[in-house]
Amino acid sequence: MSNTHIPASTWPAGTRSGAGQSDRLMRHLSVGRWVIGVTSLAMSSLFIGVVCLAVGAESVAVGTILRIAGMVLQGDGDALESVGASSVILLQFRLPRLGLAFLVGSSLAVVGASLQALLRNPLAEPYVLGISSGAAFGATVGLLLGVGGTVLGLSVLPVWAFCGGLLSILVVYRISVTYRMLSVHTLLLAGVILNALFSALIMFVVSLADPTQAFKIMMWLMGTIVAPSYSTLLWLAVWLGAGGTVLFWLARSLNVLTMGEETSRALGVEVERVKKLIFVVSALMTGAVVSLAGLIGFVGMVVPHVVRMIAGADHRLLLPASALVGGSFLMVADTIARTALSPTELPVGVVTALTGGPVFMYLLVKRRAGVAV
Amino acid sequence: MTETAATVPAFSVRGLSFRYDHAPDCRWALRHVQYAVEAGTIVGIIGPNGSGKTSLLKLLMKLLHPESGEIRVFGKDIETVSPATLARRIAFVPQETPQLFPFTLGELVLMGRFPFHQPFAGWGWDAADDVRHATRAMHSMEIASLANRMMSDVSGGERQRAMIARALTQDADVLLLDEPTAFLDLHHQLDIARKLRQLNREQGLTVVMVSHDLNLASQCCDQLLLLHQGEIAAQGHPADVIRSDVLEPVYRCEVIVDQHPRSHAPRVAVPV
Repeated sequence: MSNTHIPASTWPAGTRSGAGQSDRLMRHLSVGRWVIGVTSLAMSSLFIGVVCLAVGAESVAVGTILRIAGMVLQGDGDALESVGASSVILLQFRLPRLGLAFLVGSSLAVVGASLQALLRNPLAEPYVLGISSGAAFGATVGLLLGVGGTVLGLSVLPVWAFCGGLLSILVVYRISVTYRMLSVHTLLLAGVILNALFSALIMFVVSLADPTQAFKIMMWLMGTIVAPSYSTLLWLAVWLGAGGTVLFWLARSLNVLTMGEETSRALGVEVERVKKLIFVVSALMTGAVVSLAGLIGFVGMVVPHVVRMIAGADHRLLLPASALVGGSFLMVADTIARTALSPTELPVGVVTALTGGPVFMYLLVKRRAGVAV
Repeated sequence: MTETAATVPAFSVRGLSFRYDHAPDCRWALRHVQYAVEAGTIVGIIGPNGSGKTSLLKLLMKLLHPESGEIRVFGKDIETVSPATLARRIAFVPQETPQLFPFTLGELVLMGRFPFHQPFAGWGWDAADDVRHATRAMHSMEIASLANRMMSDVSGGERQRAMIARALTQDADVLLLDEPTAFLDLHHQLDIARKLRQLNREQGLTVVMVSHDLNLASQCCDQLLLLHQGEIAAQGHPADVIRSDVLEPVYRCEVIVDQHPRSHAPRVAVPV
């Protein structure tokens, strides 16, 4: 009943003749453009990854890296031993650490991009909105109660972080429901308050801990990437990959959602369902990221913004592109954190805040009053 | 148009009451509204601020839900129709759409194909057919040359045309518009009004629009619905509604009605 397509002949005269021409002229996301965009970004991520592996206190030649990669792929253990220290440095320290950096960066960027569309706020991201600090609070409580034991390794810690993250997301959700047309700045203000609140709670909990543990928690809170075990990495990859897939699946709905909830509903989006799904997935992904890497800010805001300028606003390309660019960005940031003050290491959160903070300020100043609905 | 669409009213509203809050002391936004929108007509919903115009429009689009009474869309109870199915019959043009992200005009118009991609609404590519529909709609609104421009870079009139083009891309039988000419200058107001009438005459599109502009509504609409404090104050042909004895009590001011020199539609003037 619904497909009462109007035959072309009933369209106003003169419109059909030009149609074929502008079919070609109209820019839209085609399969080809998507494949080219994602492939080229994946290639550059790989390239950046290899360069990051090579850089460090003990620099490893790119040739050696490729040789070791070949050996690993062939499962040649004896040959690996003959390479010596380089293979240990690469395979036990740099590679898992790089992998974690990539996963954390890409997850933060994808979650940031999704929240921006959902809240119609180009400055939204888990850190600024206080979702990360909520997750950190949850994880801190979990740590001190001795549930989960260590920050790394398979543990129930992410569950605590998820609960904390979900708690702050619920607050954000309440605010976004209360005000139908939320101003960009109201939401940021809510984030500031949440951040202050959770920081205070974290400080309170940490002050109950013994000094050694407190120091470890403080380092972790600043956002630190430490080489995880491969099993942790694999678990995280599956977890974040599943979350990312859900968000990719909703890409088209996200496109429509940027136009507002009423317009989305009028176009057939099941708004409430999509909204809840995105909030829960965001909390799950942020929880996993925070429990392993602490508070890493601004990646989720800066990366989608930059990608949008180049690749456009369509989330079908924006989300995978943000994942790749975000991953690359954090690989580079972590390499800087690792090497800038060698042998001392900086928390990677310091690097991202120092680069992302000024960009955030610039965006805040640049926003024209009329655009900030 | 399908055969049923020609005979069954596009909307039939019976005993419709609605308020924004269920608290007993809450004012009714709409009270006992009874009305039918015949398919293929242009209906204007007019009335003072807070008279329930936009509420009625949103109820017709299922963006709000009635407290009592029923709304039938082409004979079907609106509550039983899924959002995507509804979106394939009824297209909604909001008063204003925020432009926060760098979508091109073409991408925005293509979003009108969203309801046709259920249940795989999230992912998937725009089929050649989708692009064809969007292109046609843009040609129809004469904005095809702007397809690759950023929405933030086009003028208010072009933006409104783009929103209507997106609605046309939905291939719907009914177009609901919330004050389509509110922020436009005279030229663009006229332009949108002419386009709507053209779409109605040439493609049999049913148009329901909320308008504050009585003169535009008078010239452009086949039927008018005058709301006052949530109730129907008058309905019918513009000549029956645009009358000083009808408008004065509703708008609480002196209203002079004469005839438009060209279209002969009733014309409203308000002495300051």
